Amino acid sequence: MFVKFPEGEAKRTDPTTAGGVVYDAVIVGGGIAGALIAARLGAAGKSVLILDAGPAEDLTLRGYESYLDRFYSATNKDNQSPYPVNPNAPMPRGTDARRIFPGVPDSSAYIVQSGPFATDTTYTRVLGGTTMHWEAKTPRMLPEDFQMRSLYGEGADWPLTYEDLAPYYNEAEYEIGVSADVDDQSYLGITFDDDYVFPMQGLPLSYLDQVVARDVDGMPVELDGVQRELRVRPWPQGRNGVPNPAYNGGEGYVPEGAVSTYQVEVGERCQGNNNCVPICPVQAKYHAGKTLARALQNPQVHLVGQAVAYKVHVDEHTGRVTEIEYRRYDKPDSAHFTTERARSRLFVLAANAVENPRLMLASGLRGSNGLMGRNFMDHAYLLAWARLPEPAGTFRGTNCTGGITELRGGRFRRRQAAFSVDIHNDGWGWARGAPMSDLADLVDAGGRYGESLRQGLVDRVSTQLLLAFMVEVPANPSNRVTVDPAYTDHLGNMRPILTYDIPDYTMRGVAYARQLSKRIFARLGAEDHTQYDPSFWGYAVYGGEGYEIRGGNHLAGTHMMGHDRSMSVVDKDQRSWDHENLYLVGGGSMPTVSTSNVTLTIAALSLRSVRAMLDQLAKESAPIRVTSEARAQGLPREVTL
Amino acid sequence: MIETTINDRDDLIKYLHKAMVLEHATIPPYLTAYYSIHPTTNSDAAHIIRVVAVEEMLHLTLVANVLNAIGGTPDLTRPDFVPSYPTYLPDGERDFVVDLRPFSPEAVETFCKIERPALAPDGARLMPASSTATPSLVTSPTREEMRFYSIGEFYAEIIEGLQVVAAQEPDLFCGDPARQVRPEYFYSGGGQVIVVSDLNSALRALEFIAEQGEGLDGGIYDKEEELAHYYRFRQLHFGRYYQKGDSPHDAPSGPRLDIDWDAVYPVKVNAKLADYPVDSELAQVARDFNAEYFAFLGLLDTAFNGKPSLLLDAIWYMFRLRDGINRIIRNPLPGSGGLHAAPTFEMPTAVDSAPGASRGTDEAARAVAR
Amino acid sequence: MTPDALEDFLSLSVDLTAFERTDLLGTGLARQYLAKVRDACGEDVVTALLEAHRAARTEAAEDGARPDPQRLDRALRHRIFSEERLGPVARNVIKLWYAGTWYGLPPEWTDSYGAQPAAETSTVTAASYQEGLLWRAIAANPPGAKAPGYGAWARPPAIEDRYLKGRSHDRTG
Ligand SMILES: Cc1cc2nc3c(=O)[nH]c(=O)nc-3n(C[C@H](O)[C@H](O)[C@H](O)COP(=O)(O)OP(=O)(O)OC[C@H]3O[C@@H](n4cnc5c(N)ncnc54)[C@H](O)[C@@H]3O)c2cc1C
Ligand code: SF4
Repeated sequence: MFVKFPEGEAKRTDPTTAGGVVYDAVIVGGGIAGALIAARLGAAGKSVLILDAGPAEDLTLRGYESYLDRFYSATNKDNQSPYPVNPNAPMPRGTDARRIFPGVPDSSAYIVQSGPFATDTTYTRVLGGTTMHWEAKTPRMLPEDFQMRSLYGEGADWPLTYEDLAPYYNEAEYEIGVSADVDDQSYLGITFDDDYVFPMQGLPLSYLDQVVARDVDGMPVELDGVQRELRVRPWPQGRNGVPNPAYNGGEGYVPEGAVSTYQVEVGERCQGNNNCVPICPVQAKYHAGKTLARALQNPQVHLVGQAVAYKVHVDEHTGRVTEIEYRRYDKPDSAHFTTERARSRLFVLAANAVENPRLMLASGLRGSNGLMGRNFMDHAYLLAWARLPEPAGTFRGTNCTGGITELRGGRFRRRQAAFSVDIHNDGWGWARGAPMSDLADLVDAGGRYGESLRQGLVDRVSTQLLLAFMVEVPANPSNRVTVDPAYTDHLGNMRPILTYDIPDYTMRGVAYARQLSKRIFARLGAEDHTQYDPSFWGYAVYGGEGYEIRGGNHLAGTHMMGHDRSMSVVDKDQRSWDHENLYLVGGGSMPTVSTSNVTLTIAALSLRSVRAMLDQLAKESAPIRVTSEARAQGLPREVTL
Repeated sequence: MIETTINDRDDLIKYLHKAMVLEHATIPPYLTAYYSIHPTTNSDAAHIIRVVAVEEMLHLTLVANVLNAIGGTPDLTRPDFVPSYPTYLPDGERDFVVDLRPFSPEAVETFCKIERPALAPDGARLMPASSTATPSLVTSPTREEMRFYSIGEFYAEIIEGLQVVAAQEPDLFCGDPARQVRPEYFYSGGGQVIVVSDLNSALRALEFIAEQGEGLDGGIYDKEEELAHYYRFRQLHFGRYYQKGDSPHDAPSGPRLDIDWDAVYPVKVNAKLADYPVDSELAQVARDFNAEYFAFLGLLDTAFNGKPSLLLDAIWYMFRLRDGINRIIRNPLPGSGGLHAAPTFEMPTAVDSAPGASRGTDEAARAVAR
Repeated sequence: MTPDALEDFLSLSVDLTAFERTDLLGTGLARQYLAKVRDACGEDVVTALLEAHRAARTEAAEDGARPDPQRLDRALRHRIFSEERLGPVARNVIKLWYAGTWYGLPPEWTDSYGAQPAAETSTVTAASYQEGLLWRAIAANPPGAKAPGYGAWARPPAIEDRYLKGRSHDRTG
């Protein structure tokens, strides 16, 4: 059941030789977006070259386990703790976040943050991308999320509707391998094809969820004159559960196992390791390495790793992209690199919503309307935590099995942001470093040892409840990614500079979320322990109250899609308005993040764009001119494609 | 060709019961070797053994499906279901014994013998049981004097017998379909559960078991293109992975595989409760483990007797057993000259399993009750 | 390392953690932990700690019987936890067993008794995190290891009854 990564593939393609080939497509980034597109284009008989910034190592079980060992041995088990530091392709780290003081950008970490709001949002630059450590919640967007401007006068409208995307959601759920039940997921206008079932059955709710549900199910909430009842609902999950025998008209579904160059039997059913973030020890959780390995089984699909895209070259006259110049570092721990180039008929940037605009801006391509990098979005997380009257158990199950979704949509979005609520199975870990912080406190300050310590741990840890409110942030052109030659990394790449503020619209949702959390706790008879620390890096004051706001890791918006080329960067196929053979794919294309974790939508959009790419490849036969550098190398002047 | 030893449904049922004993008998040795490996070391070897052990569970399930399909009643709780180690394999292979021993070249050697391909020296599937053989471990359940050279031959006999009996008894497959374990309840790395309802599916299930153990038609891979168990263990012997194109006669030519024979707890071979200091905390832990292990078999028994969804619970049990084995194996065994303790897999006596005998059993009992 | 020191260390650790000897040995890390404490605090401190513990047990035992729990608690507080040099080390030993991490000693301690080269916060081995007793105390698995199995999370946690103090949840679930 393993996914075979062809042995030696990560080093097989010689960059210089590849530079002499004109591929059908060059894809920058081997995350979920890039890998899906590579697999589909390859399957359609197209030649593909993937460039990825991560280390050029085959994906093997042994390599994966070295991530695990690094995680086990780390004293600080943050999101990036399994992944080696790589100065040639640096990554932001949750622990980087610092409070930003007006006028003083924080450039101490990879992302230069000019504020005013500091964020701990992260992504990973290894083969497989950020899905290596995603949590794998896979909700669909609501139909209304695609029409925010026309319905509620906030944010932007999509050039697509839910119905347009629905078939691709089905496909994305297949590719990721989603466990969920249609009954649970049909709400607020989300509909499914008549006989649709998810590839695998929904994961059971945790005991903690059930305890919360006992009191929360049926809780009335009135907002903007509309009455609704809350209920605890299971999340759809990109992890292996019980295959649904009814899938695909009774064909069933065979879950995908771990990736390796040699036969391994890992990656079966989720075992409840409670470690989906930062790394699932058994690869029960989907990661894009699985898709990447499958893509690379096709001999038409090539990969060059340690390849950090440096510049997108454009033909001044036609606006078409002619090549991608990249820096290929010799080793992760050495700054030595060679400059290489990749050429193709189509170019696809799939490096994520921060790296895509960073690369475009570093190439001097701000866009004819100056929108490149603007409208950066993410989710704003507000946490609220309390102690339940009985031990319901923490640190059991996946990181999160259930949540509350009734406030994802509704008329109230005219005024304030919507949110979804996660019931965390890992106690106050995210907010206050439980359970290690409780242990230290009980032992060092509480004088506990022996039996009284064991009792104290049950009393303090097994009763913890943490609700995470994932609040939407609408597009705003002044939230943006920029570059500045003053800030470069080891390889000379310009680093992303992030300017980000949380709008009042979102803060109104935040304030409402906090009030709702108090009501929920009261209904549960739980003791509210939420306290927001004014010295916290993400402390934000609204309406006289202060809140700790955290980053959502759901990067979006920086190359937004639209109907109108003057108001957007890409069209509904994620094709650049300015550069007709360039596609910018991923969260950056999304005009709204609304209240769904972005990756399922990224996958659906990617799958949808493949069709446009294939159409374009089929249609285009015009000769293109190659750049002067290529001429200097004695390559032919004209390449007829 | 020799005359078949399976003539009717009863013979078949006897053989399938024996097959369940056989499939299970390999699990304690694999578990002992697997958990004797120091944590976070010997990853390659640990994976190989772990997966084979999981697949033996799959085989056990498949045999139960065949047995249920022909109206038999799986029984994992009778006193002789778990052998006393060292033991011969229940199919009568007499040139080696199976021990509970730590991961070592000897253990790998035994594992290879357990999974060896069907290649009886003189081409005969059944051989006369040697005169020195212990009589308690019979071979052919219907012919006391006969034994098999390998598991493959043992299954070949069942497969042939099944065809013979199916031809004679049109209602052979009269079992209640609700007793079948379906793929939803069990999936592991290699292979899926096959639901058995007729001769065809029964043959597929049994052929799958044989192939997964020893390879297909003398090749190293089975139909699913998975490496057969025998060859997986051979990789440990050679320190290299096989890859496509390798032949059974040559050494593997795939990526290197690292083994550190020293990163292993030196557990006592075939430990018995009698080796533990009387009344010690450690002896109690070992007894608790046995109680849990037999409770686990009891749960499997219930699952195979009409409650297939309990297999999901059985997995939790296995994971708990894993923690128990690990705990025991890391304890030195007093008075053994530096060896470590090991689970004994002995059937608990009434006294051992008395309620409240210890915290461990208490927890186990509660877990079952839920 | 003498076998006696290991025995004494186990005896101390049983009292500090309320886990049984077999549980402690069952982590496979008792030796490494003792060595870690030695490297981080020095031989003298370890010897003094083990001696103080022996003395506490003797004091709490009437005429060679098993120590009386209340008297043992008092003796441990007086002889160890409140002791300037031994208190922080004993607390660190508890955390070592529970978390698998050696936490750096407070600066007051290192100022008075000197810093050893191995004194900073560190995990002992990759396995030590997985063997933390904390997880067993709350009937959970260390995130990323020792998984309990699919769906086990839907059942109530198997916390021992004596720690539930009657707040026992509905076990019929
Ligand atoms: C802690 C955490 C939890 C999350 N949980 C969820 C969740 O539950 N649900 C959900 O939907 N989403 C979740 N996400 C978000 C999700 O991981 C991302 O949305 C998704 O992985 C984005 O995929 P991508 O392919 O667009 O980009 P990425 O996965 O970031 O891949 C980009 C790839 O491009 C490569 N690259 C980058 N720069 C360059 C360059 N200059 N040259 C060449 N290659 C380059 C990188 O190496 C990488 O392989 C989570 C994220 C985090 C961090
Ligand atoms: S709960 Fe565990 S097994 Fe399941 S996906 Fe998360 S880390 Fe993997």
